[in-house]
Amino acid sequence: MAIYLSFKEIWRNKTKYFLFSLVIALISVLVLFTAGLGEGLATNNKEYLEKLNADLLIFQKDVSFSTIESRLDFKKFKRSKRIDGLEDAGPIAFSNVKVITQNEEPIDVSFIGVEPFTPGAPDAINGNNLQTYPSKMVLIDENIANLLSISPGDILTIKSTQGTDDKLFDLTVTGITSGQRYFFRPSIFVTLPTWDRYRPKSDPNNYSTQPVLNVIAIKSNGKYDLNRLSTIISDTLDDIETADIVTSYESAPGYSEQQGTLNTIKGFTFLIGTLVIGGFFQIQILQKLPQIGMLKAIGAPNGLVSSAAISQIIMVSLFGVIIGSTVTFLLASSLPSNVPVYFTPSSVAITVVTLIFIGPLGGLLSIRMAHKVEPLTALDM
Amino acid sequence: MPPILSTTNLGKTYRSNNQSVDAVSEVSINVGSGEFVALVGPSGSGKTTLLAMLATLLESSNGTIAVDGYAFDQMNAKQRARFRREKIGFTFQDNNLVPYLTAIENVELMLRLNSKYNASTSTRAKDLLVRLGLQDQLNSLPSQISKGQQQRIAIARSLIHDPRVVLADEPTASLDTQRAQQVVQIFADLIHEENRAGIMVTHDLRMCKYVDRVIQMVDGSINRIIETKSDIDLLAGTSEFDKLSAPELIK
Repeated sequence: MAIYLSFKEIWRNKTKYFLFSLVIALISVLVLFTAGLGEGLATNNKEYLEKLNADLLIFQKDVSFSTIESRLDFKKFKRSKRIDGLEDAGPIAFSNVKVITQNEEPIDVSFIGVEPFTPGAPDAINGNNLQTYPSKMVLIDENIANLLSISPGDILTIKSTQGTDDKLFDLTVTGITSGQRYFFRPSIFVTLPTWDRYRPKSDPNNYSTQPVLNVIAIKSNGKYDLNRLSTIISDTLDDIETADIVTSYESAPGYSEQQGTLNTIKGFTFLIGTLVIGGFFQIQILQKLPQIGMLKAIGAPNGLVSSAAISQIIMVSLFGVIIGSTVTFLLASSLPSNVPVYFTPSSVAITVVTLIFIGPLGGLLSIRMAHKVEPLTALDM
Repeated sequence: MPPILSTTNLGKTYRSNNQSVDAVSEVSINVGSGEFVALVGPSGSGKTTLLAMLATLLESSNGTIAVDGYAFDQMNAKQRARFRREKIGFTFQDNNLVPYLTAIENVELMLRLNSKYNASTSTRAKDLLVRLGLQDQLNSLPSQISKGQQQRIAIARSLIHDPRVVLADEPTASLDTQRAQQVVQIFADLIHEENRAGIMVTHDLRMCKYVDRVIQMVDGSINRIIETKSDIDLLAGTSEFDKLSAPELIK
């Protein structure tokens, strides 16, 4: 009965409710885009670290878990491999280079040195994994492979500043990994000696097969819990500290501030949505006071009046959120690939459910008003 | 035959700032099956307060009200709402209809509220509207039809669920004379035919010729009851009868 009444009212006032649904749809688009942007920026920032097959990262001590600031001697990596409780350890060194394209501007990429088949080296989804030999092989992120239409076996030319000169180096693509963005750039992976040879540096002749690392990725064998393992590592190696993966990427410069800003925007949008929906339905109820009074006077129970109001709010909100979600996905699919708006099922589900929930939340006051309507007063008897 | 509706020493007192005002006092009336009663009197005489109490919209301060011998003075709000939708049909002065429901849907609303909606009762609702001359407006929204037609729909709605008591609060207030007479005549006919107990509050004394009894109220109490049809017919529309609504002139 409640749904019958609310549906009839919406159906017979289609234009009014459709326009209001559009307002909810616009709020939904804004919230979903903000969520998608947050997810996209976060992914661009952390994708490589998030996908690491590792439990802990070892950093230099007192660098606030900054992968860029952290410097670790290669010997620490060797010693770390002998620590009890480890399944494996992988050295990781970060730098940036440009990838030369045929027709367009060079593309900035994260140039990451790893040891093949250790926790720092991602697996290929196409072609072969990175091998120790031959050198001059590169494993590339699918983002750059798709952008440049590169396949395993092709040559990738990178530009790196050596001393004061920009030098070009050809690398052979051994395989393609899933998306591995890091610091807003797609990533390419080489062995540590190749990395140290081709990374930008002030002295072109200063390179080694055992270069200074940024971090060491640790995979536990499960013998100890991670806290205990961290303590063991800290006791074994000097001047280091460990962090789990989440802490590691959340400690990246600007990451927390960026996500905090986007979450604040999202929160305010939810608040605005709640107030707009609340205001609209409150005005609706005020306009309908005599009608509600009449319904109560002819014997409609309070529960019916309230549930008709709730179901109307839910129907309008649901319709608005469906339109908003559809528009968002259509818009998102037409965006250029370099715009970092990503949608994951979980974040979309949470956002959509929250959007549907704020309707009744915003309408609570109007439902209470409907509940309190006195027939005699409303009918002016 | 026992009355359908009876009140005994019914009263309503409003209290504020140590003052009490008797809006209705010592009203005892009986309305039988198929009987249509008009409540008349000047503004503030307690007609609407009495009607609100009879409709269980207002609790009485003293006395009793019974429908079919069942007193409902002690009911809680939920029980009163149920009683209203099952036993009472109500037509108001204005704001009678749900604006987003068509004529037939407005009548069927009472059936739905009482869980009596089915193909057979829906046909009955249509028949009733046809009888009221609304065969061409079955699917019209209230905003698409005249006030008189709206009041006829309200009358149909007040009768469709087989209520024992039918109440009307100035149902012709917003109608011209011709339409008002049509509406009240149809109302009276249906009450008589279907053996309901009907009470109508009215300021338009010309409508009293369609009722079986006129109860005149003054200052919250019954001042005069015109019992016989012949007296009503004699008085209806005359200046003498009009004075019923202004009893201070009689004094």
